[in-house]
Amino acid sequence: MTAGSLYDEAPCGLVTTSLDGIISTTNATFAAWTGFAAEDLVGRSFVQLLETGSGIFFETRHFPTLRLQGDVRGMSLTLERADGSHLPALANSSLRGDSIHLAIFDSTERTEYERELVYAKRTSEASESRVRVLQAAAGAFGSSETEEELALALASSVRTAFAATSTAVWIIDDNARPQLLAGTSPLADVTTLFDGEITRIESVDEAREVSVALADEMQANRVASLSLYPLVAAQGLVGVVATFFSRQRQMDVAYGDLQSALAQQAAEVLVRVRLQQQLRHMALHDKLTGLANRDLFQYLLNEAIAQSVRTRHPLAVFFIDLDGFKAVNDGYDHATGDSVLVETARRVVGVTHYSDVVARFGGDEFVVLCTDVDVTAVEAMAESIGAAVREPYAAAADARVSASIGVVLYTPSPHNLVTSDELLNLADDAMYSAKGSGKNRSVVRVL
Amino acid sequence: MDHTVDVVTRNNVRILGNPTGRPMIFAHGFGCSQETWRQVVPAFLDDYRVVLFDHVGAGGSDLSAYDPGKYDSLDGYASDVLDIITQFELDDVIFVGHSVSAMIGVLAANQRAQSFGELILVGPSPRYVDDVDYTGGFTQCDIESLLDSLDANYLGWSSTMAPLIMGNPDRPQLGDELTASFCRIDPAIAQHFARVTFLSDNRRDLALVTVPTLILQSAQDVISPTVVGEYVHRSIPGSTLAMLSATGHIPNLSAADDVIDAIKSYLR
Repeated sequence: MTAGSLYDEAPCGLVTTSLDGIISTTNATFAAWTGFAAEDLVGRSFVQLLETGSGIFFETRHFPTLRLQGDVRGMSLTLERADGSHLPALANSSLRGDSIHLAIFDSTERTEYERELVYAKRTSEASESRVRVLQAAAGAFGSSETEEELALALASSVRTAFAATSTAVWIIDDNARPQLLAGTSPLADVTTLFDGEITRIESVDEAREVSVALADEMQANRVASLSLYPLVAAQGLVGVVATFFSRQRQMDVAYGDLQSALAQQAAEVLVRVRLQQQLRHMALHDKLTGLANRDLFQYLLNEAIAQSVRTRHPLAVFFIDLDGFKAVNDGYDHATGDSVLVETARRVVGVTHYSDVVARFGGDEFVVLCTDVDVTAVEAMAESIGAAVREPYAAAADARVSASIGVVLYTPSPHNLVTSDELLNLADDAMYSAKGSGKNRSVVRVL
Repeated sequence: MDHTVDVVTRNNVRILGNPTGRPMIFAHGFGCSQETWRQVVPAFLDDYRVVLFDHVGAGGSDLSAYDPGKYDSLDGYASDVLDIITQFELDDVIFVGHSVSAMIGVLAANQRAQSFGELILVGPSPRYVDDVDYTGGFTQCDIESLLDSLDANYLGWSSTMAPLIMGNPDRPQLGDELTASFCRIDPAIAQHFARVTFLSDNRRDLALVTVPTLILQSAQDVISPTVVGEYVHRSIPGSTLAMLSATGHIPNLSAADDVIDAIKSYLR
């Protein structure tokens, strides 16, 4: 066997090219594989014998690696034969002087096996990553205690799940208006698109069919694709999650499924978070008037006493008991009684300061906590409360309701420490003095 | 810019050449790292302050900085270029971008034109996939087959790399290990970067370029064919198109002298 026939009949394809990849010689094996005559291959660019995707890989990865490294082994390539069919191959290549030498091996069987492996790996990775996203989201959603925390967790889960440029989450508030609670929206008017339905805009051209202004805004703010997904609970639309992409993206079935799963999870948690907030509010507030209840008042009074001891600033506790309220309940009905209480609460809040705490202590008793006050301010305040309560009540026009008010003004010092219970008892005592001396008046005690 | 980000580590930034010279940033394309400029850079060291860097995910960059949301579009990469410009207070920048970095340079220059003096685009393409009335050179299927090709090769990659990492004594010496890292890329990032590179559409951004632009087009570039180079030239107002005699997609490696001459004669 001559060296020439050894070259030509070698059980692998042998190709030599210039540094530019132009073929200078090939052996017979390679020519036979490609289906071209050996002499027709000379002068052609090697990359043009590759299937397109493989050609891109060859040019962008194989070539620079070969130039920098001198050798590349086991590169996987796909040859495109003269008849258009494909031949999977493995190639070793070396850079020697002004030439590139390639040895090419038919890897049909190995490649088919590997391709199956690759597809199986992709399928399992896709489902794994879906599970990972949903698990991470479930954890983050579950530990959210407020709407803000949930919105942040949702925005971040969605951004990670879809490699989105940005995400934003709106929660529908009590006035049915969307409030942006997490993320940022590159588009100012995107809330006008909220209609409770899924909106997917894959390109600026698609947006232009909906609205020219939207398309322009997308272009100006580098948004190529976007999707809006409603958060829907039993009571209807509770929020919207928006996903923005700077690159045009196709939102396929898998995208929709994952987004729907995330939105559904988030909506369920949102309902729970809201319920908990309501429960917390209910536990600390009077259901009828919405004022703080006795527990909350006591807690805030303790805080205020501690603060007052530190600052040495006086505080005052007002104990208010309505005069003539029993007659309302007897002469009208309990519903009227309730509306008088609601109105009284509103009036008392109206004459106090923003920083004061007004609470319903029980029945027709109210308490007020004021900080940083003096005798003059306290007397004026008692006067205003009395006047406000005395005004006629529309619901009970014939009733005469007034207030007996007991006030204790407390200036803390190391020799003068009290508990919240003691202050409340003193104020209660003062209220009874006011009641005992003819009602519709106030008694102030300085401690 | 977030000042807690260490731009130099993140992008493996290297500053070479004449410290008082005009700044010249070289940006690498898809598939490799700043090493693809190694034969071009020496010709500019005397006169220019040369800035080299790796895109996050490539070469010696900080892989932990790879935020898929940020890098899902070329805008993320463009913002890194602007971070480098800010960090080193560069102005009147000559930006030389190869392959996908040509468009990254266009996006960066459109955002902050005042920092750029010249754009030099080597083998640019604003969109690789054909569209109505546009020839990019590829179909969506071609790009899917590139992704298959990446996967097929990374299976091979891991099997050939394993003995090297395990310290098999039959494997080549230290020098080769170092060169092996030049085009090192994380397989998952390579997949995503390939999607972002080959499925982006930045045609609309070309008309907005105000910085003087040179387009270097090699003959027989299968990745960015001549028709695409001509399209870029037509779309960027006042741009200059220079045809290289080199062939192939990476003239900075295959015909560095050609590239050097073309850049120098444009800057002269």
